Amino acid sequence: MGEIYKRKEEKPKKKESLSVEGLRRSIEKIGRESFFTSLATFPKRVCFGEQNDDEVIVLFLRQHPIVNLPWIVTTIFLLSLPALFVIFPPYTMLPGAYQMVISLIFYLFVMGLALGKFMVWFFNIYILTDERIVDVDFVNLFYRVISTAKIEDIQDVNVVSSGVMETFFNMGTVFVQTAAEVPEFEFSRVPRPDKVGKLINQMIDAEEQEKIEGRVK
Amino acid sequence: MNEVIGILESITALSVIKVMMVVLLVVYNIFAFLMMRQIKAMNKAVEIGDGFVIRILGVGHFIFAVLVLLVAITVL
Repeated sequence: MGEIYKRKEEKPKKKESLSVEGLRRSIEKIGRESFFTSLATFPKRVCFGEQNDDEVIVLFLRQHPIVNLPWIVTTIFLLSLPALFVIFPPYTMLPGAYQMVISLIFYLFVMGLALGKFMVWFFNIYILTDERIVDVDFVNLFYRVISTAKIEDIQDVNVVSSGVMETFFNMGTVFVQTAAEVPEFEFSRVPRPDKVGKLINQMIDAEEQEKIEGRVK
Repeated sequence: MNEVIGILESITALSVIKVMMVVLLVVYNIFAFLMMRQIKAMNKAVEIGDGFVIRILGVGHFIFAVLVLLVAITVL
């Protein structure tokens, strides 16, 4: 009886090394390093204080730019308010010089408010390197926290995207549970959270691969 | 005694407003300076390519605060 089907012997595929170079090839390039970017893989113009010489930044993240919309709208509204000052009698009773200075002070405060809000967005940075994750939390002008955890300490990655805004703008929060001193890292309202979660998982795989191959730094 | 009464009598509502505004602006200038320093510190902690923009904004904000203070002192 003749052979109906003979399965071809397949040579086992050589698993690509997940070193930094391997990661560069295997990681899908997401985002781009543009002005005020909120998502970029392998950014060239980013480094942080505690970064080691051979440490490579794999992912740079900020909150989605749309989160700035409320304070931008508020600022525009506030900037138009001095036109309404003339309605209030105490203001109109003041001499012209006083009125001018009050308006200037108001504009100054609005500028300070807007700058403060912008700083919170600008300096709230999440960095994923080939060795660790770094969470720079800029809460306000006088309170900032920089937390780090090694990739090997990451235990679980959860991606949460809920609500109309988050669904519409494809943003969400990535929770990273770790065995490090900081038990949970929260990458809040970042763009393309599914891709970010996938990338962190790829990094965990790369770290495990390095451990197996005995290339742990 | 008469001198003190004279000084008290010379205090007007406008002069009180002027002092209040100048004090407020002095405090605000300190705040603007701290803001500028914080931007510098943050840029040092995390160097980002577009960090110079926020540095310019911080310096601009501080200069504006100083100018408003000077205007308040001279014009009022």
